[in-house]
Amino acid sequence: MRRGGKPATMPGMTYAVVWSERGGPRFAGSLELGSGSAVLSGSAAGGSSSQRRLRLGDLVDVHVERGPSGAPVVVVAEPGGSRLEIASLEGRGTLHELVEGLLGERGKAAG
Amino acid sequence: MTAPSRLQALVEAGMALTSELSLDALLERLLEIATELTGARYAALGVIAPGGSRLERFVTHGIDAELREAIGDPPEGRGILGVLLREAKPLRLADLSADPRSVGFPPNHPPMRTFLGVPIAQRGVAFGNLYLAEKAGGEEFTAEDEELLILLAAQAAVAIENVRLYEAATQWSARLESLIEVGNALAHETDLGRLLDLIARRLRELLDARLVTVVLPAGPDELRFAATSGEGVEELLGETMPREGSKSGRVLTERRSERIDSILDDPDVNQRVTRLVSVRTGLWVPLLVHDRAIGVLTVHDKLGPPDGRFTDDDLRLAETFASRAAVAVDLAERVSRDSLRRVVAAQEIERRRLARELHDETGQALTSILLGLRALEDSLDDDEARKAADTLRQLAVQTLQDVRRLAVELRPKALDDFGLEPALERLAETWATQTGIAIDFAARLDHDDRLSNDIATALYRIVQESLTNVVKHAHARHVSILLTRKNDEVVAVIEDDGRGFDPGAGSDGFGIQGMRERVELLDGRLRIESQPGAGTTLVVAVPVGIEPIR
Repeated sequence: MRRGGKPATMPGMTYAVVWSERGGPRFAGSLELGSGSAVLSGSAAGGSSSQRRLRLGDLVDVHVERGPSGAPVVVVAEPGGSRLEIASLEGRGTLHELVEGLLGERGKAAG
Repeated sequence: MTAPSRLQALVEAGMALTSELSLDALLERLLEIATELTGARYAALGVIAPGGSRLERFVTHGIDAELREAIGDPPEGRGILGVLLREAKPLRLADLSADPRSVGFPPNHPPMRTFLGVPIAQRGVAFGNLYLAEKAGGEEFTAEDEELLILLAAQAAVAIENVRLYEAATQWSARLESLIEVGNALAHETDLGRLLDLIARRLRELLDARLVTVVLPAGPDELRFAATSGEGVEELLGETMPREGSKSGRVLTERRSERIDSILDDPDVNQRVTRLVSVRTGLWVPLLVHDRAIGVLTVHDKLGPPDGRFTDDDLRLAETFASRAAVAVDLAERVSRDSLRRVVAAQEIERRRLARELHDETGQALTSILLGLRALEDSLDDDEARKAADTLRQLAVQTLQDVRRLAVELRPKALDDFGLEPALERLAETWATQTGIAIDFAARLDHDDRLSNDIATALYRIVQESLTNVVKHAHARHVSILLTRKNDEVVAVIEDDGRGFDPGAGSDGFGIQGMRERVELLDGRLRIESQPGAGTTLVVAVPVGIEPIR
């Protein structure tokens, strides 16, 4: 017999996002916030898939700025110069929640 | 004993018998008095089983417990005992063994020669037979003994009926008290767990059962123990078991009570649970509301009878309690749904208000600021000052766009102003633009009518949540959304060509759970069809509450 399911918490949250890297293809999928890392998983309009893990403790920068369309995006700068722009599809509130989550886990990983 | 003293003894015996309020005590006292009055060494009373062909109970006097055990099983009514069963009239014998109808005695039985037996009848119906054996001094039982015993049997019949009436009255009084207590609790108790616990406890006491449980559906495939009463079953509370392959699941489906006298022999019973609580017998009773089964009450192992079996009367009582439990569960579900409905409605009202405030007040204010900044910029001579004013104006433009987007996210104006179809069309376009996923939207609703606000909002949110799930999990390239009217239902179908999943693999995520709750509030249905590698189809059907366009 089985007991009830575990409650959702951060980390463990998953967000519907679109992201691109310096003018590259735009992917639509999910960002799953884990302990010390975040996993982006999705596919682009042409059918190509992408899955990448961001080691939050190694990130150079995480901040919010205006994207090309004027809507706010989370900008994640990785070592080596890679720069991702991530937009939330679930509203402005979740974008800021996502930023808080990334910064929080980044702080824990760095500490 | 002289005649007057026998009469006196008989009167005293009658008074002693009528003072007993327990049947067991009454029968033992009866046998004691019978031996005292007649000088018999042994006395016994056989209670006749329904059907009249055998004895269902045999009470003795003059044989101790050790000897009784050595003799073994009590007689069932063959031989001389059977003669009394069949003929229902007094029988006096000088030598039991010499009578051709005798079948002898079992091993270890004390020798018995002289015999006197008389029937005990209530209102012409045989209750049992009174037997005496081995009159003192080796003498035979006399006609006076026979007459005395017949009179004693008549007094005993009245006393037995009184005790039975008393016991039945006590039992009914206890049942009534319990039902009143449960009824009061239904009116005042808001916690379903406590209500079901009360029902389980009271029923277990009334039936003298070892354990009682109440199981309720937990999703489409499982049953959860919502209440348990009895020793060693506390750990079952909150546990779940598969609905398929269980007796409770079958009773829930067939909506019919079952009584099982040997659980080990029943293939429908969940043997894992049975072994966990070591039960032998059981009653399974569905909780019915308007012919719909919403749970199952189970009762196990009656403590009185050696075989633990329940009677038809027990089943009827269990059904009475099950009906109370059904009311409790139904009431709790309605209260929960009403609360959820109010929360969801309040949420949408709040969103609408916020969206209006953002649009009407904040948006208007920003527009005024923009106009003011444009005028200021035009009036400035200094390049730097004009540049600063332009920067401020750009910021105001972006903020105004943000505010408008936020207002749409909270509550799309199209939903309130134009209805579900245009709102969904706009949603599909926006998502297609943002994600690069091709999204087709088609609607086939009758344009003369418009869906009620609750249904339109629920369907909009469900489609919105479905698109979120598609982006998060499906890796789809194409999504189609179809909105149609079928008879008295509005049906929305959202289909993607993504990677699919196994719907049976795990519990619903919060998004799907939220969709199910919205659909259930509208008495609708939600079905998800998917398999790995084969895309996903979500179908929502909601009964229509159409409002004519005014």
